[in-house]
Amino acid sequence: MTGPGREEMGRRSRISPDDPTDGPDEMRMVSDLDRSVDDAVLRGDVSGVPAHLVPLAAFIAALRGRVADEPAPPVAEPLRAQLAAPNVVALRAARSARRALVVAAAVLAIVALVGIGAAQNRLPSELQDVVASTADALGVDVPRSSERGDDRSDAGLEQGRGDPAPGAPAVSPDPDREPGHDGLTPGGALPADPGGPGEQATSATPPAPQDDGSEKADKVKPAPVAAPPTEAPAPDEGVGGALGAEDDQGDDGQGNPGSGDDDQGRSGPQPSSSGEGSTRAASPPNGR
Amino acid sequence: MTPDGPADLEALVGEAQRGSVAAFERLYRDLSPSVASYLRWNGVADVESLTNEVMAQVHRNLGRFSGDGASFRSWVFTIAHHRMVDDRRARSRRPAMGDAEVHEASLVGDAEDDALDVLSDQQLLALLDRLSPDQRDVVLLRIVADLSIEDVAVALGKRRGAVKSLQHRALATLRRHLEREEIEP
Repeated sequence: MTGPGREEMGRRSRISPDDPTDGPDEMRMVSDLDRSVDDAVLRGDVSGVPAHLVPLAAFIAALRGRVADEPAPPVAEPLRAQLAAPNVVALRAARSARRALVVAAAVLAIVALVGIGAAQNRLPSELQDVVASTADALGVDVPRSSERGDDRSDAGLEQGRGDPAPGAPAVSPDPDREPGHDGLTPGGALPADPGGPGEQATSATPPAPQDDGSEKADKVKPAPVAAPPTEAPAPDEGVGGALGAEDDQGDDGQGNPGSGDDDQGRSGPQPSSSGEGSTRAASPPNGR
Repeated sequence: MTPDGPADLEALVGEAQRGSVAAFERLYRDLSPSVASYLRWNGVADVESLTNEVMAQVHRNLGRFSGDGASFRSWVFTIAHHRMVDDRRARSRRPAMGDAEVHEASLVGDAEDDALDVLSDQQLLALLDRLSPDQRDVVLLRIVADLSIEDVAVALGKRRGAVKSLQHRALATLRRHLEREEIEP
């Protein structure tokens, strides 16, 4: 700053510490210079201001005159190149829109995955609980992780895998886990008819791959055939139980319908699910 | 020099945002003289270069702008002000104003205007130098950029009342020095 304010600042600071140009003279002028006149002065309207403000208005008018005469600077090469480049503005706008779409799609995908996982109670416990709490606040019923065991057993029963009902001894719901060897499933209570050796299995369920039960049957010792039913079937037995009760099929007691005899029992479709239930029915409680 | 009005300016901005080079060139022709003046009377040495940089930045960021014509003008001068401040800092001192490319105004032919041209560029610069940087910014944005009090407040990042106060004090200071130095039209 080259004005007089600096050297006069100390002397004037008692009056107005905010502005070095403030002082008795300035205060008087501020009061003189009515704010409504400011606009006229700023327009450089020499004829429209009081006489004592004409020099100031003339100054403004002179400044405005210089501005009006200012020519447009020539366009420099960098700016020219920028203008000639592919539509930078449009590209930026398109890029922004594309980015927004990608972000929105990602968010939607995450929400959908979390929602599906939460609905199936398959999220990690902490996340499941958080989602359940949040959904609960929104009035949506999402199971908590503590409900997980019940849900899974229910699901297993619905699928006819002969998984234990609540309260039954724990059994892996995995159908691949050596069917017929746990001997603990409720299927053991079924009035299962293992069927005669080599009898063709008939089942309402679609046939499962043959290598499921039969291969395992090769590795295990056959359980006693045609164990008599000891209990009535549980009311919530799955398809396996029903099939076990209805099917008059060969079952070697190892989850392989029709494989009660190794020589004869492997022909034809072998519904592993029904066999699993039947196997458990034929196995003793401690049949492992 | 300037578009016919804010609506015209707004339409030009819209076309430029849609990628019209012609529209941006028109914006350049309309606004660059004011930007150059603002920079020049703020003591920027290389006015043409900095004006081009300002307009290049305007072009680069045009896609992000939203608003009407008046807002656009304010936005452009906000950019110009920031570039000027950067230049001021880089130079670490205000350049000798006599070195600036202050051109002599041509007489307009009006008797009143003829009288006004008694004030030379050097006198104008000397008077502007009497102002504090904030006062100078306000006066030049009001006069050169033709911004409203509100737009100046936005451009400078100050409150409206502070801008009004700065403007008032700037005019009082100019008036005092005009009287002391007996610069009469």
